Amino acid sequence: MKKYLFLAFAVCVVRFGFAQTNVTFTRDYFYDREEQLADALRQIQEGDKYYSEAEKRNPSPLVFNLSAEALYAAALPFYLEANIFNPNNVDLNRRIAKCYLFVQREKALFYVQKAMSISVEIHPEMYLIQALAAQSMSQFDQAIESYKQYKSRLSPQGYAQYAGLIEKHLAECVAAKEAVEKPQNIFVDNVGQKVNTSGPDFNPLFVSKEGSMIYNRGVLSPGSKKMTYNILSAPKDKGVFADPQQTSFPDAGYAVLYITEEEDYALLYNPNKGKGDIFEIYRNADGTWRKPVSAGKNVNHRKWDERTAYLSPEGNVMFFSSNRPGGYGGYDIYYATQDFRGKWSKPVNIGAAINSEYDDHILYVSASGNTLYFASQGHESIGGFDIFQASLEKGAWGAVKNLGYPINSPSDEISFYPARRTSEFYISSNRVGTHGSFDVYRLISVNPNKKVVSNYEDNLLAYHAQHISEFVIESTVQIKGTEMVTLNGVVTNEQKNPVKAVISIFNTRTGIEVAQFESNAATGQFTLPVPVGSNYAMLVTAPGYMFQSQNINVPYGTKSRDLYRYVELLKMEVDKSVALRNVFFDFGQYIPTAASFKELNVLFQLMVDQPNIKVEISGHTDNRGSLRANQILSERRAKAIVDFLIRNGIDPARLSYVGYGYERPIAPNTTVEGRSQNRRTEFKIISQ
Amino acid sequence: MRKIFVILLLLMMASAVVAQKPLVVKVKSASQSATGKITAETVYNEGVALLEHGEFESAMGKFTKALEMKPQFEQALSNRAVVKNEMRDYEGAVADYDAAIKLKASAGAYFGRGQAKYVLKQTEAAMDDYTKAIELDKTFAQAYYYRGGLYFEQQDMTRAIEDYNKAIEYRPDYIFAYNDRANAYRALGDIEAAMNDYTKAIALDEHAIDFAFNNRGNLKRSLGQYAEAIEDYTASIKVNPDYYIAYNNRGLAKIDLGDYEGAIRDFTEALRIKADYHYALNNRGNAKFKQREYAAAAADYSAAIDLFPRYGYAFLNRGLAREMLRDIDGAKSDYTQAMELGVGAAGEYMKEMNF
Repeated sequence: MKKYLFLAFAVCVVRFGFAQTNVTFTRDYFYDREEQLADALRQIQEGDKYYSEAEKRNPSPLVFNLSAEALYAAALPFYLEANIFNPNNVDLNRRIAKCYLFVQREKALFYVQKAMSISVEIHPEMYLIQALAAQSMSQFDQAIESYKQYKSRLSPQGYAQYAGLIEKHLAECVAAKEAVEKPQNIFVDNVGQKVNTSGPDFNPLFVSKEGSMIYNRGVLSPGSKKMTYNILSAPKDKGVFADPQQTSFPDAGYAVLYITEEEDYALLYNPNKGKGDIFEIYRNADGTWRKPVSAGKNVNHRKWDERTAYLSPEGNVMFFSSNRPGGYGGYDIYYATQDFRGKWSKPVNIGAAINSEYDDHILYVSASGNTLYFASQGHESIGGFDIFQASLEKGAWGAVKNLGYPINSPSDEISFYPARRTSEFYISSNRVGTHGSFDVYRLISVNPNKKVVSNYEDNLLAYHAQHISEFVIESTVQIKGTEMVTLNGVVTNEQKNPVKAVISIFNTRTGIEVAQFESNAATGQFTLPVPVGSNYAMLVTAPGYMFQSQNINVPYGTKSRDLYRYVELLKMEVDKSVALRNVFFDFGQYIPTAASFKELNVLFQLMVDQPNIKVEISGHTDNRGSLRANQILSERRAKAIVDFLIRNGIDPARLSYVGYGYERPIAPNTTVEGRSQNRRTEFKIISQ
Repeated sequence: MRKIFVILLLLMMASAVVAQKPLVVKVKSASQSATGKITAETVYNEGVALLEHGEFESAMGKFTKALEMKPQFEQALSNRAVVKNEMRDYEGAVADYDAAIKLKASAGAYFGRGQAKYVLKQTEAAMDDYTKAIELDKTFAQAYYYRGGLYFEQQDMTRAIEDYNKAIEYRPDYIFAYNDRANAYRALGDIEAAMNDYTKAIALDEHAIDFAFNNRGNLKRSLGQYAEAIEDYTASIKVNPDYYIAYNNRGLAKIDLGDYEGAIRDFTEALRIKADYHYALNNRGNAKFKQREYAAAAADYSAAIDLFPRYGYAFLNRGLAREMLRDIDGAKSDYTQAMELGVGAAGEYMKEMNF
């Protein structure tokens, strides 16, 4: 049994191993499927006819070539058919990837990565295909890495030719990463499969009624392997395009570049006449079109391609693109003016402000004639051709502005047309998600001035933000017939032995010291007559002990002639704590009242006299109100005392504070007296 | 018990040595005078002590009893009015103050009545009372301050500042007056003076003034100083960890800086503290909107509307979120609601729909 299991595993390993290596289209691998092998080879041969021609026209995928694109698209079905038979051939997967690069870039990534995974030695171009596909899919980090790999493998000749372009793509990736992070509020909709096909569908234009869209569809002419165009018209109803129809333009093979709103004049492009020429065409009064006529020798160079064109609003200036020599690189935008006989003048290069070292094509001229929209691979493109805008400012072309993401994408955008009567506009792009090659997209912009509204709370008036009681309380009244009362007391230590202590009595309302005296050394006893009608602070201090404070309220109407107070002084030791009974706060407040400073000064003096002690000040409240509110209040009160000490020069490192709210009562909160006991501030020695 | 026994023993010993007073005294009723008679004054004095410690219900009983004994007792009327104000019985407070003023006009009574009338939205009457309080006491800082508040609410910033100046003149540590004067300066566009006053208020008690930090943060945010504003909001939260307003405002400053995740955390914290804070829900929706999470944003706007059905801005925002979700009918419905609730921009938003 074990033996069979091992055998089964070995077979699996072998099969798996095959899947990871290059499988050639030979009898070595397909000796039992010779007929299918022959068919697959025929498919490859058919595909190669287009592919090799495309390769001739397009030496590197770094360079854009629309006619090569059609050839790659034509090769693709044959290769895919062969790939069904044998999906593990390095070269076929690479070719399919390269075809997809021109047809649907997002699909290229799968095939190139497949090819790389089964290659013994990776062909440098695979890195480039991977980079271009990843860039189009917004996988910028992967793209950057692949571009670098490709660049490092270029031959000296290839380096000289393409290093600059690679750097440009790297810059595009960086710019695109930033742009994608900050998209504009624009909806991008593919106008659908009735308009868009697997080939290039581009240059949407609208005429007066805007009921139909006129656009171009590129097809490869059978046999000649040349790209040719059809001008189609797609009716639009409630925003939806119906099946396109042939227009009444007389000849196939032309692409429309421009048409007047009255539909009586148009500019056409024919790639197969000259090296690619621009034609004018007029409409007869009966609605039929005349034959297209070349725009003339000044516009159409006999050796070079003129690719796009658009007229100024008055119709007397033609902007067009051409790859003729003498420009700034690649295709440049030129303009020519029309004389009274209708002849176009010698063209003038529009200048370096607009033309870059790469390809630049005119797309649209605004109704005012002051703003140009053009496609460029240069400037600050975020990938391939982007759409840019530039306006005339004081007779010169101003700064070139990229229309941004998502109008532009990491792929190519090559058309731009704003609908005249709605705020929609149309582009064509080979971005991820096309039905193949270039598709027409409708863009709808949400007005950037439409912004969400936030709410915040501002200018908070203090008396709204924080309730404090500022009512004026009438004071107590004097009652006739009241007298002096006698304050009696005794001072002891914790062992109940008498202590000789200094006793200070202050009037808490006036702050005036009423008396200072000592308790009897033998008995600890003291006696003092005080007038009725005041509140008194009694502070008791003795060397080696923590001070004690008591509050003695003797209001008018006090019935007793004698008051008794017992004072127990605690040794100055760690963890001993006493209540500051003469530190006062207004109800709900956390700033000590003026009457508090006698006792706070005693506390301060203690800190000065005992420079090694560290203390904790704690705040406590009664149980009225929420725990949270009381905790905050008690903490603020404790902090206020610490702040007082710090302001007077005590090292903050010797001080800490805590608010306990009503969590540590020392008396029941059910009575007025109990609550009064619980409202307190304490200080505790935490080290000495 | 043992402790009391020891105390008594010590006192007995002491009395024996120095022949002092007797140790045990029979305690009479607390309200009896020295002559043994319970008077309105003794009851009143007990009420004052209770009021000073915030024992409002007990104080109320004392003042009422004192007034039963002596109906023309103006101080008892005034203090009972204070208690009624504290207990939010503002009509009752006004009635007591009326009676007290009839007996004897005092600055405190006019001021207290002004406070009660303000809460009862009798603004002009409150203004008159504050003015009368000032006439009786030209140095009455609080009366100036609260009258300044009324001028502020009436958008008369110049007069408000005059009153705040007086309040500060007579009470130089009046934190509230500095904060509110800063608000008035800001309303007049005097940014420097406003910033100075907020800073003074904070310097007077930097550990306590949460709203002054918040206000200064808002001022900084309005100047585009987002990071500095966040520092102030954070200080405000440190003073008062439950200050949901500062969390909300800090969230907005984080949106300004593009820190949408941080903003969402702040709005969520504000909602944890105050679950019905509809501003925070609306603003959290805005942070999600900025993240292009339109469905999540719309859900927050809906929750804000559930809490406050007349929240026009939340309708406007939800309309825009729905527009981004291409829910055209929903967007139109929300813009219409926003318009009906007085949000003028909603009409423009509706007009500029591109569908």
